[in-house]
This record gives sequence, C-alpha cells and structure tokens, in this order.
Amino acid sequence: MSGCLKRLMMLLALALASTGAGCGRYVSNEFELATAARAKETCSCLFVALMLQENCNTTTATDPPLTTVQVDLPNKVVEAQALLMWSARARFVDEHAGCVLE
Amino acid sequence: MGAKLTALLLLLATGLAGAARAQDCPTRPYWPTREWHSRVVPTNAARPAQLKALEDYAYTDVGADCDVTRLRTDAVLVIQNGEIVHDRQVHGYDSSGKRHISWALAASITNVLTGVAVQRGVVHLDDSICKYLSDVASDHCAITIQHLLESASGLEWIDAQDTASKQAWSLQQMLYGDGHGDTARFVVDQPLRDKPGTSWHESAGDATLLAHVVDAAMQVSSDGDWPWSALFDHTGTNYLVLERDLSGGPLGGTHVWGMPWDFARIGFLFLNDGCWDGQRLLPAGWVVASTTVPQPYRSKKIDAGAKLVPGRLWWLNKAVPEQNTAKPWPQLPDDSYAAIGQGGQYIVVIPALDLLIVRTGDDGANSVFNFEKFVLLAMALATP
Repeated sequence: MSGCLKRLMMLLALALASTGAGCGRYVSNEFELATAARAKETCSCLFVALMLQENCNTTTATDPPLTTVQVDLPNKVVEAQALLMWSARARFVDEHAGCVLE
Repeated sequence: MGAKLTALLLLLATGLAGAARAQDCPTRPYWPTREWHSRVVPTNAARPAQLKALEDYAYTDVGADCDVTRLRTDAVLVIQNGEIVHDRQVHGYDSSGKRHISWALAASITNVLTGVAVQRGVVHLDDSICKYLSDVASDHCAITIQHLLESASGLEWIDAQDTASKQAWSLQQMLYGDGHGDTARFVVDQPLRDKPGTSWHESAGDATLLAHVVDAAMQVSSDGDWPWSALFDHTGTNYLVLERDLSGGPLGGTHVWGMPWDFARIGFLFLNDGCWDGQRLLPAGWVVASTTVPQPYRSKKIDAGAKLVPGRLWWLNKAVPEQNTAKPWPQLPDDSYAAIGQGGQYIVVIPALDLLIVRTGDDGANSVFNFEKFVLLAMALATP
C-alpha cells in the first residue's frame, strides 16, 4: 500500500471518528481546518499574491488531496469542500485587508 | 468628540516632538521611498564567483513539492549601503506586483507598528490589554503591551512540535478553526500557563493579540487604514497587505503579504534606528530595545529545545548563558538580527556591514535550507 493511500485510509477513519464534537480543548476537527485553510489561502494566493491558479493549486493543495476548491473569479470568492461534509468560504475584501475567511 | 479632539492634539504634539527629535536620525544619500537604487558596478562583474556560489545554493530546488525537507527559494534581495547588490525572483514571482506571504515574519512588522503607536503616544508599553479589549478575564488583565512584545503573555499556546494533531495546534485553530472569526478573542481566552511577564514562549498568538490591541488603540483617532497613513505610505511599503479576520482584527502574527522590496524597507527602517528620511517614526531606543534579549526569556524559556534567541519579535545573534543558549549563527556578525517566517521568509539586518538580506521561499517544515550558510553566501556579495 503506498504512503499516500495509507494516509488516505487513516484520514477517512479519522473523518468517521471526527464527525461529532472535537476532542481536547478545541472543537474544530482536522477536516474543518483543512477546508478553511484551503479556502483562505487559495483566496489570498489568487487575489493578494496575484499568482496563477495553477501555482495556487500547488501551494495550497492538501496531502492527501481530500479538498477541492471552486473559484468565483469575478466576485473574488473561493469555496473549498472536503468529502462532501465540510465546506468553507473566503472572499477578497480590498487591497489593504486581503482575503477574509467567513 | 472630546476624546477624538484630545487624540488629535496628542498626535499633533507628538508629531512636532518627532520633528524636533529628527536631528538624532541618520542621514543617507537617498531614501528608497519610491525605488531602490542599484549598485553602479553590477555584482556579476564585481564578484562573479561569489554570485555563482549564492545562486547555486539558493536557487537550486531540493526535494519534491510535498517533501518536508524541500528547499524552494522564491526571491533573494541583497542591499548594502542602500543599494541593490543582488535581486532575483523565481517560481512565478517577478517585479510585476506578485506578493509573498510573510508567515511569522509578520510579528516583526507588528513590532514596527507598535513602535509607531508608542511614538505617537497612543499606547504605552505598560498599558494593560484590558484598556483596549473588553470582556477579558480579570487575571488576564495583568498582560501588558510589553509582555506581548516579549512573547511573555503567559497564555498557553500549543505549537506544532508539541502535537501530532493539527486539531490540537493553537495556530491552526486560531487561523482556520475555533478562532478564525475573532483571532484576538481566541488568544486571550486561552488559560494562563504562567504569570504574565515571567516566562517566554514563541507564540503567533501573542503577536496577533498585540496587533489587535494596537489596532484598536489607533482606530480611536484614525481608521482601519492607519498602518498606511502612519507608516507604510511614509516608507514606500504601501503595497503591503495586512490581512484581517472576520471581526476586522489584523492577522499580525502570520498574514502580511508583500514583495521583497517592501520587506527590505521594513529592515531599512530598523537599520536606520526607526527613522525615515529625517523623520523619526519609531521612538528613540526602540530598535535597541527590540534587539535586546527580554528578561522573561532569561528567566524562563518554555521551548527548551528552541535554538533561536529572541528580541522583541525579532531574532538575535546573541548567547544567553542563563538559558545555556549559544549564539545561533556563530559565523555571522554579533549585531546581526532577523525577522523570520515559516517556509523560509527572512529579513536579515547586519548593521556592521550596512547590509540587508531578504529571502522569500516555500521550504518544507524540515527543510535542508541552511540559514547561516545562505547569509554567509549573500554577505560575500557585499564589500567589507
């Protein structure tokens, strides 16, 4: 079994275990974190860093690749999803404040 | 109305005082507010072997994109005596306006913005955070602006090296999880580990909380664009982006975006004792205090394995016998200091050589990139 496939299986198992309340001090689970990070950093990469989408896909991709992004270029909004269960949205505010995670 | 008028008069008074103190400021043949000048004799002609050595090391990619040991330099900028000695961008970065993330290097910029607020008399180092934040637990009100500058809030902060799980990692939760809507609230709601001011712990949370406190104070007499009107516009760093959370609080511990020339101007401001073109923007003594090891670090260091030596949100090349910490960069001049962010973001200031070195990158968490080796190679381009 390849390293990536092992990680995928482990994360899927974790996904099933983490659909309820989080453990420890914090509530947000790893999928919520990964999805939010993907949305926020893709938005910043595109609309603050002004990099090409292919560059941003490389620098913000999760490993294993469980998150996907949809980019609304005219409105400067990025939505990310993971396993159809978690989603997050970031939008560009302006040239001083950059992107904000909603 | 009364408070705003008082603040306005205070700003006017401190502005006049600043103008009077400007005689203490260093002079320069020019100031790079609009653009940086280049050295007359190009480095590829003056020092070709040294240039090749730097480029071979810095710009040779090592490892795959997903490799934690990867080395990815995106840009290097070397400036001596205010003149560009070397300037190159790769991996899609160029001079057309593409910005690079700072990560924790942002904390050093938050230090600068705090200095601006102190210089203007808007905040004082011994101010409690409760002067500017509401609904804070009473024992947390002992935290002052100085404590945050010295990473000595005493608030618990779980770092990457303390946990295998991102879920337990405070930084991840602050930026993308429980705390993302109001990052300062997230930080200040963490339990106290130590009495404020008694221990040192590197924490993007402290820097984020500091940025939020200073921002709240400055917005009493200004608006959300005060970093530009008070600092960035004066120094030509107006292309910087200071990202904010959903509450409007600045992400001053992680998310400043800029080009290498912008980051170099931050270093140049420090290299010139907080002055810019005859105007004192930071208090006299601010740079010296920021590049002095804070007492909380000497008293108690939480990260026992940490090898870097802190100043006030800058990193120093000093030994600290009390903590059995050696000089982190023994081959570099003693007066070297740096702003450092994850992924290989650096602003290196070497006053002894009037030298600035900026590097941006996308290194892995355990990159093979050697900071000291890189700085030595960059120093070789400079004249002694």
